[in-house]
Amino acid sequence: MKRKTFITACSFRAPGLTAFEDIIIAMNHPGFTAAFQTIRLSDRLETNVARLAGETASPHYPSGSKLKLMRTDVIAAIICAGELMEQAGLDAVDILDLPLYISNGSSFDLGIEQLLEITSAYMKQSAADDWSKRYQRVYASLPPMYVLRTLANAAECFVAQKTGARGDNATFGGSSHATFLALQEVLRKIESHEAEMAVLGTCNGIGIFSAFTFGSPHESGFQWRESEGAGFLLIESEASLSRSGRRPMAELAFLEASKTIPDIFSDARDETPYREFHHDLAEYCIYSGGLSGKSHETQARTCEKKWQRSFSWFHPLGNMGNNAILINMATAIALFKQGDTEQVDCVNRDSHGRESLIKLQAFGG
Amino acid sequence: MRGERVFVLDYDLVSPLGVGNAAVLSSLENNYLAGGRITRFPTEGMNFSIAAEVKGDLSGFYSKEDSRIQQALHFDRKLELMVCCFHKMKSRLEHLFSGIAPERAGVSLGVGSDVIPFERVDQVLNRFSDNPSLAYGNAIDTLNRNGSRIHNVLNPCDFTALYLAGKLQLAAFQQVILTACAASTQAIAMAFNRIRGGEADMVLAGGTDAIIDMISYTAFSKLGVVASDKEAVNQTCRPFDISRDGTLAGESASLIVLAGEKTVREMSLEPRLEIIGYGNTLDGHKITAPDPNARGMIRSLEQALSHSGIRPEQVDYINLHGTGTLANDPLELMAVEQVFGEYAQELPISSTKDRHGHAIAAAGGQEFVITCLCMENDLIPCNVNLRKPINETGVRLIKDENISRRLDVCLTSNFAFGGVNTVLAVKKV
Repeated sequence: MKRKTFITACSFRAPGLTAFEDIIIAMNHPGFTAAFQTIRLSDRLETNVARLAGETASPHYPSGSKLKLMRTDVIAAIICAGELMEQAGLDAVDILDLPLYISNGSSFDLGIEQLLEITSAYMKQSAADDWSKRYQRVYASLPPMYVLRTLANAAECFVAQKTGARGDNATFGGSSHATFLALQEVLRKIESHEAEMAVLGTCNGIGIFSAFTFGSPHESGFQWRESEGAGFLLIESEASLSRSGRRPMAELAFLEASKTIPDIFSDARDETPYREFHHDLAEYCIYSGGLSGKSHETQARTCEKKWQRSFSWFHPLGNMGNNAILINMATAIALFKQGDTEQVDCVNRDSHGRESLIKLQAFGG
Repeated sequence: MRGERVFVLDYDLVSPLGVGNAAVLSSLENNYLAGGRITRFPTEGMNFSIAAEVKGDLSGFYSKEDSRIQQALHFDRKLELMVCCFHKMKSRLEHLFSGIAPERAGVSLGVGSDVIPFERVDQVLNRFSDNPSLAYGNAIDTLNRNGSRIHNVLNPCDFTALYLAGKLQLAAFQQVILTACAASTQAIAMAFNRIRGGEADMVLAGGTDAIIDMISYTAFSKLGVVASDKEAVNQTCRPFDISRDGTLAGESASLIVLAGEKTVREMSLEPRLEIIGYGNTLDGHKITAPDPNARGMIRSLEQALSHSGIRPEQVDYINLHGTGTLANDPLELMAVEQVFGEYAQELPISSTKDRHGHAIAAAGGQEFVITCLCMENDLIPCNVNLRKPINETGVRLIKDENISRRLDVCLTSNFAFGGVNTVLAVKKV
């Protein structure tokens, strides 16, 4: 790290987790688990999804006219971003050029009912049917705002509206690793002195597309479990900190990513996670990314060997997609607040075996 | 913005204007308009039926490709376009990247959303007509049960980046940007950042997208942004014209090789052009419409100039986003007028979307390559379908004929759904 950087505000949502206290309570209760709902996808596959509770009472809950364009993960992102700005107490001038990098999970997960309606409209045929009639049915069944509801950068757009952040930006996509790439962009912006603070956001929707996309249909007994979520971090340089007077929640001490090129042609999966990470390891590790129970177990074994203490949200929350890395970081902050540890390695392994390590240091630790 | 200089070493394009730089340049010089009746799916009964398709059978480009990829690209047009673009450039890319350590090479792409083209999975869907509630899932399941991690449909959105990374050993990072119409513009900007920041020596940037399938096309037309069929098929899209009524759906894939100054020097490479900076802002206005005062667009143009360290009068041409939609075009002109002041009346500007359509996430990559081609050939492309401009005095919209003129510094801009404004600044070496 060329410059010291700190997390000075943090807001997040995952099923059952809305505050640092929730994290500590959930970690200390082995029985804690999100309420998963099972959706049958095909004759062979089903998905288990954990949704966020609606938060209509939040002062950051969007207004009615905008709601019809928003997915639930986008609403959660707006609430988190609003809370972040409130926590940080940023003024409009600070916010205007605030860089905003978002990692967005599957945005194409329309309600399954809508997809079925479109499919059914397409398939319905009679002897007198021609393409024209079929098309008319599809046209009628397609929601007018389909493009906007499925827009991959919807969270970024609405967060900019809500917060007034209008600076450098990008929405990174793909797997959970996209969050690490977005964080790298945040740090580059600060390290190059182009900005003294920047925002990292995450947003993960749930539905059938991600199950089909990231699922592992070749693994026997495969059960896809995924949870909805969002989160935002404000990251600042030391110089910015001395001006703002904000108290850091954690220091970003070190970042590393594996350099293994995912091999899309090979069915073999590397079963030796985190072997590229040799930097001084922290005492504690929060890990994520095991797609299925089997790969999670492999990760768990490695992490238990490599680190003195380890924890994962896999069992209670399933896959958190693009929200995973941020929830891991929030968990580290919660542990710092408890005085439980002074350094945490947040590690993630995505569906293609790309790995990242983010070392967080308790402030003053 | 300071750091290592970033050069464009090579580029190529699969576009409705042609496959490969030579074909695209020839189309630009001859004012070829690619709009036509859609051939990729039946259009009877549709209100709109015109798009700019990449024409011809592309399979010759990738006939030696892995059979699983060949199967997948039958269902995924944007993958097909990118695989075609890769094979068009393959030997050049292999030559350039062979001199770079894998951990110093990365890939940065802008891509569009994955849509299952019903018309392509028709037969499989119909196999499950006795159980419509699970037909969709059963069809996907059937199509993807090929014993491979390469799916036929619904590959992860970074699949194309992973494909390219595997082919060229790009280990440093594989990143995908999803900011709609500015996605590949931002992907190039983020690649530029990675090199300037010293994280990579060489990056493959670009993008791919295709919206000429029944669901995407219908969804965009329902949003009211697709041009009507009132005019001749190749004149439906009329950016900056008073009679414009929408954009032309398109498709494209582009690849651009960027490298830092040190790499260029050490490997004795010959850069073609230099990226000198970019501007990138958010409107924060509405998801459905740009800021009515063009504030985000203005700030992105201003940033591109200041980050590049150039004065407005140094810009020789701007390739504008110019979609042909009612909302976008006047605001772009307002932004140009505001940023360039009196010089806006001299500064040649145009949009090339009337020629090749709107490739959404791939638009920025396509238009960056077109800008590079124009710079290397000192060509300013006119707005072919422009008859009566919406702004006749404040800006210099090029119409009627292309102009031959030395181009040293150019800008290319894209302004996306959701209010994302990205402008790249390019300079002749």
